[in-house]
Amino acid sequence: MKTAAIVLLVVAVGLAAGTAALLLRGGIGARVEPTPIEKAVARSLRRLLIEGSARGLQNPLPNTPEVVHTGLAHFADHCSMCHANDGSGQTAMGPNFHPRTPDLRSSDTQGLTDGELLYIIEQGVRFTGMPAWGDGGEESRQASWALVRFIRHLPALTTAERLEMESMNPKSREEREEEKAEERFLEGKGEDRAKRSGGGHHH
Amino acid sequence: MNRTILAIALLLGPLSPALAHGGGPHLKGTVSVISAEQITVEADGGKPASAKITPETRFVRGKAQGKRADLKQGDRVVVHTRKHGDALEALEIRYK
Repeated sequence: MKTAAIVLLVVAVGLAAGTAALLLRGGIGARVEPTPIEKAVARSLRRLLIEGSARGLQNPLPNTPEVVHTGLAHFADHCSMCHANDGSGQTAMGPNFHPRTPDLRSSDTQGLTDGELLYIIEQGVRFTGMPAWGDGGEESRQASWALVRFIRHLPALTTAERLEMESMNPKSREEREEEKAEERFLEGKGEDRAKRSGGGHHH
Repeated sequence: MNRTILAIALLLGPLSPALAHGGGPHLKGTVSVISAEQITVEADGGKPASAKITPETRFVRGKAQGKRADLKQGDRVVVHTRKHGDALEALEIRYK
């Protein structure tokens, strides 16, 4: 009993010291690059803390173009703001999260089981920017499984698919107007002189 | 027990993400210079603007994938950029 208490105390002091070192290294700001140790610990924790029963779930939806497209549309509407249409995480926000938004095409993500991907989509990941999606209903569950199918498809995403997703991304009226202006410009219509859109749309 | 300790470590870790702006402008103009490393766009009434071409830069011709060799001086382009320090990096270069 006494030994256990000492071990707990040592662990607590170690954790406090480690946390203090992390905070002193970069304060509470998110700009500091996560260390390899932080990344490894976070990845291990994520995997460890996903419920075992969820890990082994099999995707009930078939791997068809229709299902993948359903996931594509859902992803473009709900996920691309942080993850980017191609899953790279290269958005205005993605590289500024701490931990950074992962590249969903990488082996770190593609190596997760379908059940683990579903769990992360539906439960979110604490202390990251990943929220919990869905309402626990069957319709929501089906949408999440379609997302899993699409995430598996991301490494093979085509340019045409990515451009289609852009038309599905949530946008402000100004962004849509700028898109049209850019299209007109490229076609040589309307705005016939070039300009730098310095006052226009910035990501 | 191990899970509890690891969960505590996570709880004590750095908190919450930051939402920040960090993108660059869209450069809309005609190509004045293009090389393997950089594209310079001539803008009307303003100074030329340049963006670095990286291995991640995407070339999009219409609605299909393109390549740098498609482009030559005088072509109309729209360059989507991101800021990298004081410089701009081309994320995507669109043209017809």
